[in-house]
Formats: sequence, C-alpha cells, structure tokens
Amino acid sequence: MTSKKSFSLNIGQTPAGFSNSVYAKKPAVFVLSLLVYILYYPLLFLIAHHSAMIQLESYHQDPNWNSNWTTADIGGKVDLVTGYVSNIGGLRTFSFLPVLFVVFLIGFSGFSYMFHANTVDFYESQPEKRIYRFLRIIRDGSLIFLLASGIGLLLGCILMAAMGGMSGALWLELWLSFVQNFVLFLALFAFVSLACCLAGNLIISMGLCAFLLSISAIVVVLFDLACDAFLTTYSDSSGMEDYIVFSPIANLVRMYIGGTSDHAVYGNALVLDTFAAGGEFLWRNLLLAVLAWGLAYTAYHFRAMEKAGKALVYSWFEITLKVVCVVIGGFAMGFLFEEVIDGEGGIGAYLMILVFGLIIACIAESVYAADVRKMFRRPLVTVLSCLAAVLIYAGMKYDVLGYDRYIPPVSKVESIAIYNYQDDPSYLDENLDRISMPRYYTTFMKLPYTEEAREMIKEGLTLNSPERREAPDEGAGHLETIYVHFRMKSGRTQTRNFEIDLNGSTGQKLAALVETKEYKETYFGVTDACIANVKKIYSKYPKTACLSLNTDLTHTESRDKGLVDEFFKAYKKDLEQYNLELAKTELPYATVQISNQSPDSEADFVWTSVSYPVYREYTNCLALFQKHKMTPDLSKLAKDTESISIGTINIEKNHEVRYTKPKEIRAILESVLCASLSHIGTPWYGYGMQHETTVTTLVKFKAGASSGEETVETNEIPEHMLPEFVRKDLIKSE
Amino acid sequence: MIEITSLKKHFETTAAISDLTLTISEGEIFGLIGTNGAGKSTLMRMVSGILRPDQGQIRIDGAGVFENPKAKAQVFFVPDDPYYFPNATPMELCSYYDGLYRQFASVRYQELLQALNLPEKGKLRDFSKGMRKQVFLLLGLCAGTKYLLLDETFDGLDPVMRQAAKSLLAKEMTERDFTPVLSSHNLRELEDICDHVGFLHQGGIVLSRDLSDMKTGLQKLQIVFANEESQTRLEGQLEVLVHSSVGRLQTYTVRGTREELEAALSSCDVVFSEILPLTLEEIFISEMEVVGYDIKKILFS
Repeated sequence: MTSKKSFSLNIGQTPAGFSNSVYAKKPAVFVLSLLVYILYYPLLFLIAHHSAMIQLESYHQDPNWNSNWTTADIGGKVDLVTGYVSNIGGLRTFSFLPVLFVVFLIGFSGFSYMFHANTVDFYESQPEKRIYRFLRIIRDGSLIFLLASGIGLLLGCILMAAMGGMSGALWLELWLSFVQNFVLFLALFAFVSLACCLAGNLIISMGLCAFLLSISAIVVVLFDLACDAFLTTYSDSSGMEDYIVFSPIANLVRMYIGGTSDHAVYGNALVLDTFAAGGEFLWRNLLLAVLAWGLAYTAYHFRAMEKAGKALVYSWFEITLKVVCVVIGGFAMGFLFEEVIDGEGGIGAYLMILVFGLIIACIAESVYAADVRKMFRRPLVTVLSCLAAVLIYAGMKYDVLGYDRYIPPVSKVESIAIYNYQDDPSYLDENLDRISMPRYYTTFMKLPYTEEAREMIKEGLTLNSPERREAPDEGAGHLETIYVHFRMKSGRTQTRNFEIDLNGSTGQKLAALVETKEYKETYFGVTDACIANVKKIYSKYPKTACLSLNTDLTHTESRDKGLVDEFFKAYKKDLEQYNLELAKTELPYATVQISNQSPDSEADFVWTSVSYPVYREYTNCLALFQKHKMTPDLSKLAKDTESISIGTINIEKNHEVRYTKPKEIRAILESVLCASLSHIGTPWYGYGMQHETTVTTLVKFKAGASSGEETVETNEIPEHMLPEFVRKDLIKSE
Repeated sequence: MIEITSLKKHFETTAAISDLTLTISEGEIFGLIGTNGAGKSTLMRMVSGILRPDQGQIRIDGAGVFENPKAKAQVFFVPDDPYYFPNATPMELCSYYDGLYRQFASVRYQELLQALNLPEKGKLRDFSKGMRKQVFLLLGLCAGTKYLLLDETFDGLDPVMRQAAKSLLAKEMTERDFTPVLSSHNLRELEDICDHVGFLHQGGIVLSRDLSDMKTGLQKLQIVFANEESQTRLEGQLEVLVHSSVGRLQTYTVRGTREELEAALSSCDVVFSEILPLTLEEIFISEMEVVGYDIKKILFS
C-alpha cells in the first residue's frame, strides 16, 4: 500500500490535491491554454519588437520626420518597444482576447463531466462533498489560467528584456493588465459555471452561457430603444451606464469605451492611473463572479445528476427561460416591425409578437425535449408568455404607468442638471480622462430644483405634444429640447427631456436658471474640483502643458503655470457677464485652451485638453491676455491678409463683397475675429441664431504670410457682427 | 450493513424505484437480479451516493450516503460502462484512486494486474471491454472499501476470467470485512456466486432471500393425475406459481419444501410424479410471472 501524496492540499474532508482534480489527467486543457498565451505574448512581443526596430530605423533615416521631435525625444529603442509591447499586452488593449478562449476551454472542461452519465458516475461516486468538488474545479481552473497566462507573459517579458526592450513601467503595466485579465477570467468562469450547472449537455450549456452573458445587455438596449420610441419625455442620455448590466462582457466594453488610456511609455504614475480608472470594472466583475458562482453552486448542489444529457436540468428554469425568451423575443420582433416596416402603430406589431412568441416557445420546447413533436408542450405557459409580451408592449406604447405625465414634486428632488445635446464639451476627471456630456452634467451639475423650475418643466410638457413637435413654429415661438436630470432624495435618478420655447415664458424661466452661479460654473467647468483637475495637466505633463488663446485666425500660447490661476480667477469673475441673451446672440471672441500639447503640434500621445469660450464682454480675461501679450496681433494679421470676402447665403442668389484695402481689412478683422462653434459648445447660441441672417467670411492670406501661407479661412458669423460699411456694401450688391 | 427503506426515485414521469425496502447484510455476496429497466443501476447509483433519492433512506452502516464522504468512502462503485481518462493506463488510474481511497492497495493492485496479464502501462482505450472490466474490478477490490458495487461487471468476462473474478471476491471476503453487491440480468452469472439474491421488478423488490432458502422453497413438480378430482385437490393444497400442461403431463412451479410437497402428493391419486430442483433462472421466471411480468420480454444472454 502506498502512502498518501505529501503535496495534497486538504479541502474539507478529503484529500484534494490537483492529482484528483477534475482537470487531472487532462493535460490538453493546460497545454492549449499555455499555447494560446505563448502565441499571444512572446510571439506578438517579438513581432512588436520587430516593428519598433523598423520604425526606429525610419527615424534615423528621416531626421525631418517631425520638426518638433527628434529620436532623442522619442526616447530611443526602449520607449519605442515599450509603446508597441504595451499596445499588445498592456491595459485596455486586446489582451482580453486570449482570456475569452481560455476561459471557455477551462470552464467547460471543468464542469462538462456533469453532461455524461459515465463521468457523473465516476466523479460523483467519489468520497467528496459537492461543495468541495465545486470549489476545487474553480480553484484548479483558476490555477491553470494563472499558470498558463503567467508563464506566457513571463516568457514574453524575459524575451523583451533580453532584447533590451523592457522598461520598469512596462513591467508594471503588463502585470497590472494580467491582474485585470484574471478578474475578467474569474467573472467569465463564474458564468460558464452557472451555465454548466443549469444545462445538461455541452451544446446547450454553451448557448446558455452566451445567453446569460448577453441577456441583461439585450434587455437594457431593447428597453432603452422602446422607451425612446414610445415615451416622449424619456431620455437615453445616460445610456447603459445607469443600468446594472449583469455581464462581464458589458463591463469590459464599458471599461474600454469609458476613457482614454495611458500606456507604459509615459511612466509608472500614468500606468497606475489607467489601472485605477478601471477599478470599477474590477469590482463590478468580482461582484458578478461572486453572484454567478453563488447561483451556480446552488444549482450544482441541488442538481439531479441523472439529468446528464438533457437540455436543462431544472424544469422551473425551462419555464423561466422560455418565458424570458418569448417575452423578449416577441417584444423585440413587434418593436422591430413597428419601427422598420409598419410605422403606423397598427395591430401588425401585436400580431408579430404573438406569431414570434409562439415560434420561440415551440423552438424552446423542441430544444428542451430534443424532439420537435414536443413543440406544443406547456401550452398555458406559451399563451401567458405571449400575452405578457403583448401587454408589456401595449403598456409601454400607451404609457399606462403615466411616465410622461409625471413631474417629480420639489419635495422629492435633491437637485437637477439641465443640458441639451447641441452641446458637446469635454471635461476632465481626476485621472485626466475626458468626461463627455452628458455624464459630466448628470454627475456634477447640481442646481436647486425650485417651484419655478418645476413650472418650467410642467409648461414644457404642454409643448411636448406630438402635434407641436411636428409643427414647432406654428405660433409656438422657438421650441427647443432640454434635458433635465433629476436626482431624487431617495437616491434614484432619472433623465427626461422637455420642450422649451426660448421666446416664451419657459425661455424666461430657463434664463433665470442659466444666470445662477451654480449653472455657470458647472456649465463652463470652473468649479473648484474642475479647476483642480485641469491643473493636474501641469503636474502630469510639466514640459508640454500650456494655455493658448485661439480664434479662427490666430493662436497664441503661454507655458507660464502661474497664468492658469490668474485666468481662472478672471474667468470666474467674467462669468457674471454671461447670460442666456449673450449666449443666444454672440459668438465668443476666442477660446482658451489648456492642454498638454500645443494644438499646432502633432501629438503622438494622448491629447488632454479643455476649452473655455471668452466673449468680448469678458473684460478681466481680455485684460489678462493683454498683460501677457497674448492678444491677437491684428496689425500683423491685417498685413498678412490679401483679401476678405463677405457673402450672404441665399438660395436664390448669392451676394459677395471683396475687400483688399488694409484699412478695411483691419476694420473687418476687428469685428469678425471670433471662435467658431466648432471649437466649443454653445447651444443657446445655436438656438438664438436660428432665425438670424448669417454671412460667410473668407480670409485669404498673402503668399508667404506667417499667419497662414496662402491658405483660405472661412467662417459663418451672424450679420450683426459685421462693420456698418460692410453691411451697406452687401445691401448695395443685391 | 446497507439498509434501504421506502426508497423512491422518479425520472420525470417514470418511476425508476418505487417504495423499495431492502437490507444487504455484511459478509455475503448479494446478487441484484432484474429485467432491463427494473432499476438495478439506479439503485446502485443511489447506494453509491451519486443520485439523490426522491424519498426514503439509504443508510450504510447507519449513516446516510448522499453527500456523506465518510459513508461514500466505504463504497466503491463499478458501473456497467466505467469512465476512464483519455489515454489513461491502469497504473494512472491506480495513482488517481490512491489519492481518493486511504486504504487503496497499490502493490496488490499491481500484482493482480500482472497475475491477470493486464498490461500496466497499456492504454485503456486499446483494451477490450472485458479487459477494462477486469481493471475496474481490480480497482474496486484494491480500493479497500467495505462495499463493492458491481453493475453488470461479470457480463462480458470470459468463463475463465469470470471464475478468477469469483475467486478474487471470495478471497477478499475471507481476508477482510467485505461485501460485494453484484447486479445482472443474466441469472446464470450469479447463480453460482451469490449468497443472497434480490429480485427487482419495476423499481420494487419482488423478493430478497438467501439463495439456498430460495432453491429449497420453490419446487418444480411434473405430474400425471389419475383423475381430475386428484388434480383439483392437489392444486388446492399447493401454492402454485406457474402451471403448464402438455397432454396429461402437468408441470407446476410451487412454493414449499420438498417434504411438504411429498406429503401433499401422498394423498393424491397420481399415475406419475417427479419433484425437480429449479434453476435460479426458473425461480426468477416464476417470481416474475407471479407479479404479472411478460416472460417473453426477459432477455437472457
């Protein structure tokens, strides 16, 4: 008799070494996993190294590749290789791809024993409790992943180090990425476990796994689309971020689209920042893993092992799955029919729901029984599911719950945010990742919800009828859509959209809101928190951070760090001049941009920037720029200008006047110099200008002019910005 | 001792085991006989803790077996079609089971493999079905468990090997506290090896008795009566399980000892009579017919 294995690790009551694991004697699982990671890391790293060497060579051969960058600036071989390698194995790269393959290999290998009677007999007759076997499958599967991916990555790192292409930051980034991928593996492994524990054979478990991974996202998207189509005041501005999506894949996608990434080439601190920015992804997926494994173990514990080979092992789950599929599938087909084919809102959609609901139910039963003759099993469930789909569809379509009619009372709302979709500025979070609208407003704009604001919304509801929307200008003034994000005292949030008549009483109430300090400082991103974040550009990019003043024709910049504080002080003071009327009628004189790189240079790395519009009324700011000699040099600009053509846009006939005299050019430039809308978001301006005549200005520079060598700059501005003599000339030319 | 009380198991709408009560005593070879689909494998899978009973209890030496590693450690189950790892060899299985069963006798296992001329390092997938069954029988014997459940294991073994297997079981029983439980629908396989048999039919035990008692408790009687009155009188005195006739020759399978039968015959007017011993197969057929089983469907190999 032999002695027991000395390396066995006891879990519970039985020896639980790897030698008795479900994975034992299945070397293919580890070998294939390792092969995938050796192909991914060492091999792709070698290719990356090769590409980096080719690029380095091109730098040497072409020293004028970029006038601002030299090979020394680039950092030479190590930085180049680091850049390439971190794009393969670093944070927010495609390094999750091998996880997707390996997790399914490991997951299904671990639990597939439940799908065959002889393997069930083999494992389940062994003296071990189910909980311990379950835990061992998870433990051993995770170990296989860690070993395979760890060995692959380590080999890749050693290889790159041997070839002189590794930096400390790259080591850090690659292994942090390894941690992220492990968490993704755990979450996906948990879903595979759950699918296996609910299914009776491999094919169904794979399909079920795909279903479990996608169903929450499908429901959210479908719900969002239906609400958007059926509910007038529903806003999908917050997208899927407001929903808890029970899918590691959805979390992964969210992390990848949720922000920019800084790779190892910029140092340890930025790598850590990028990793920290993905922290939400980590805990969400860890929570999902715990939840899915909890459910999986419950299903595993109560599983009737004689169901091996069947489609699903629980009849209640068969019913649940069928109901979900019929309701979701039927609803989706009805919605698709109405949106794409019908559009009239007739009974076609309901018929589609019933027909497709029935088809889905029949398919489900056929699959469950692996017998097409059983397709009409559980007729009551089929009928009730189809009816449920019809009722939910009709309920949403006719707003049975009164969503559109409900305006939260003041007593229930903590604060609100107001914004609209013509605005698209970007703000910076503490990691200097861009926060785009509407996330910024829904997170940071906290305006008091007053009775006046509620009145405005209530009045806006009456403007929101479909008839009014179809003919907005018929006696209704100037209708525009605004979005209101309610933060309820209960902790819930909701975003709704309402109509505002800018020329009516709702517009007046909106103007009062716009004039509040809270609105202005949040809207322009000059709250203390915002300013603190922006100033991080200077600490993060000390060599390249700058503040620039830009118009459509000029650009001046300063790298003086002290100027930033002065600017914000002046800007906050100048915001007192800002109001809805100014925004509606004027174009900003210039924009101030704070960035980590001059906008004129070709940045080879992440460009972080924020912009602030500066109006002619902002005297404090203009004085500051005057003091720092950043104000546009109009004399030089006029000197460089060969001609300015001003034209009206008229469908029937275009009129154009051309000016070549320096005096006239200078006078025109003084009036029309501005920052066009493309630089910043100024939505209220767009509303105000809708009915005003605009003209085009076309500035042609002289050959060799430093302002813009023989280029032509065009812009569209309101007519009232033109000097008096130009307006007269235009009238004459008609 | 394995005690099974009021056991029930349904597979969807089919009752695989219905209200089964049975006791398997220690130190005897228990034969579980039943038709195809009678529930033998289901019963064994429940006794080995693989399947959870819907109702009733299975106790091994007083302890429930399902989800009880301690009780399961006393049972080794060899199914009809045992699983083995891809590319596994007999020695690899040995090392695997060695990690599971604390009493596993690796050296003896190796010796037995050699004795039965089974290649230690050959791939099991290349073995014949009979050779694989031998390997698993040896694994079961060497696992050191108190109970060994062999589901149709003797089917497919050649006569020599079957005899060797029987010897191994017998030897194991003499050396330690060991109780094998064999299932088969092939009555001839079990007739000369089991001490006790249980007849399983439609998920229930029709009878469970010592084989020797059973053989003495059932008799086959061939008789030619002198007149009908004698036949009526005798049939009234006997518990007739099966009755057939060819011409005047009447054949009965009756319950009772030889002595009881001779006493009954002495009071009847017969032309010819003979009391014959029943084979296990005949006992089985008789019992099955009593409970209404269609004898034609029984598969004998």
